Amino acid sequence: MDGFLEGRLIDRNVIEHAHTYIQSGQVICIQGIENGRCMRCHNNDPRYLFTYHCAVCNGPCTYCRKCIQLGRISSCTTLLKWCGPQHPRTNDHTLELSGLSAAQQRASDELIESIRQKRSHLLHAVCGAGKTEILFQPVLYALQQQLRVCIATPRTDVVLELAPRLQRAFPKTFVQPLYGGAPVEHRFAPLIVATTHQLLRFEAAFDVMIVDEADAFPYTYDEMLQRAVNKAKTADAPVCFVTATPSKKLLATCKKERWGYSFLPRRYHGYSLPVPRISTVWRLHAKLQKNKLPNKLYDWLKLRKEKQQPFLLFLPTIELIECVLPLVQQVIPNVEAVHAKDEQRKEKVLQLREGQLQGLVTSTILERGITITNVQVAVVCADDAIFDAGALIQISGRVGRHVHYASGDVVFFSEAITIAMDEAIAEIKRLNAVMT
Amino acid sequence: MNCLLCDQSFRAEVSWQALIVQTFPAVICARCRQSFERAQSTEEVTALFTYNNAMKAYIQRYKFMKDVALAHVFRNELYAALHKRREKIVPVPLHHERLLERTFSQVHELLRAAKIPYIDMLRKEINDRQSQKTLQERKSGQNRFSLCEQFDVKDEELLIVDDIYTTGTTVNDIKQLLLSNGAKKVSIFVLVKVKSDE
Ligand SMILES: [Zn+2]
Ligand SMILES: [Zn+2]
Repeated sequence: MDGFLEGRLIDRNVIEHAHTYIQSGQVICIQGIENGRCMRCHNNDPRYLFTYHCAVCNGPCTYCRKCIQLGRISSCTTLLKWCGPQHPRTNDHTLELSGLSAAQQRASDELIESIRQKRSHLLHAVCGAGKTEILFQPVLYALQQQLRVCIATPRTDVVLELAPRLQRAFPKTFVQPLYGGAPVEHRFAPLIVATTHQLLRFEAAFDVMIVDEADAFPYTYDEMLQRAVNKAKTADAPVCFVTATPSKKLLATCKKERWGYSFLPRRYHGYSLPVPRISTVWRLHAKLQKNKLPNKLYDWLKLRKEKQQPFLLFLPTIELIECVLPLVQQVIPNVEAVHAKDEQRKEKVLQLREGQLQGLVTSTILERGITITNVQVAVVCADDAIFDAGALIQISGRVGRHVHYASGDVVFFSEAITIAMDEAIAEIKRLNAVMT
Repeated sequence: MNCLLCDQSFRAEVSWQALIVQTFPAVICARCRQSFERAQSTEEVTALFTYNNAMKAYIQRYKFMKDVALAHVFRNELYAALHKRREKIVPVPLHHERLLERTFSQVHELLRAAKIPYIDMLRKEINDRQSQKTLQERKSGQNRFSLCEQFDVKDEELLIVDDIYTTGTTVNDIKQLLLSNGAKKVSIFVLVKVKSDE
């Protein structure tokens, strides 16, 4: 438990020997809900606070519906907040460095400078620019300054991919992955990789905060998660936003508040981004629902089979995934489906990476963070509203990430051509045209 | 307002039925509403819904994540099904220790949300979670429930209400208990019935 509680805000009931910490004065107790505000997620919207007759406190009791996924916090919950001495920090950290391109090195140096100045930073890098590698040296710099670092991302998949890579890069540092259902080792971690939700369990804990996929759902949409980022870091900790598709708002804030800014329009291997092509299919949606595989999609799958290429087939809804999976399996048997609620998602992605599966039929859940060598991508019903320009750019970014397979096929199957599809293609062409 | 289940904002449409039948405003959106599947009632048990994926998720959130607000989700259906019943309504209680763990009784909250009056006449004697002997005790004839002393059910018609019906052991134990205390007729009503092959 050494140092584990530092910077954390935790339900008393989930901690063993809570009373010894309280008696020793290392933690203070706060009521879960105070003056109509949840003390864990700071929600004070009455629509998300529900009051009922509680059998434990035998009276009216209010609980927070905003952060209930992390375990319910109510008026009769006691939260423990660390107020003890700082865990001794070491500067004994090393980095197993892989080579950086000139552009990566420059961005890396710029970020170190921002951390040194305690100023926020926007790292604007196209998909496949190797942004994780860019972060390595800045993270090492921060750790050696005895600063505590957090890399937050909206998605569990990204934590699962990032944490082992970081652990390999920093062999002497304890890297702690945090996501819903993760086994948590109870000791002090100077470097944490967490889903943005998990940040709610911290307060004033991190000296450097890196927010990966800063544009991604649900971060852009959910104020609570923005509050979570601000709450989890110390007051003067710089925030580094990393994204391939920054929103106008983020770009404007960056300019106005004079953050550091790095822009990488090229992939690390120097090849341009694959430009998606559009393949229109008459009555695509209706055909799929009637369990018919349109010819164009059949041909595309057939080609993957001949060339033995791994592929991802993106679909807008779980219902369609269920319709399409058996149709795809008739062409290529070793294909599985994944979606947000799929408990075996982790295993299936691993099987695709290792070649046991040739393809995955997936919801937008896999649009980010997944890197599969030589993967080919199709977006089916790309005109569905769920595929906004940002999502389509991210999806296209799955392709051609490896230097030996720097190109590849990205195709949007759709009935109509939406503004989002147009915008995504235009933005990818624009990035390819920018010279560095 | 926002849907209690998916958090999307929705507008509660006012139908002509709402004006005739007394109903409560909707708390979930039409899409979430459609994800639940109505169950077939049988002679021995009246059930409102099947235990499909949507219902599994609902139960998980309501009972195990303790999202008590979700007691309101089925209040219209419960009201419609129960407010004209002549029998006295008997909710299945939790063991005292389980009640303290959960902080609320899921069946009581469902009835309260639907404004259905009930009589709390049962007491659960054994905490199933802790007792390894439950099965033996059941075989030995000891009922896990008892009737509180102040209630006389002689010649009464009663309706036992529970949230989930799986094997029926719980409600049938109670049914036997009430019949042996002289009840005239005992029926069973549940929110969810798990099909025997699920
Ligand atoms: Zn909260
Ligand atoms: Zn809903």
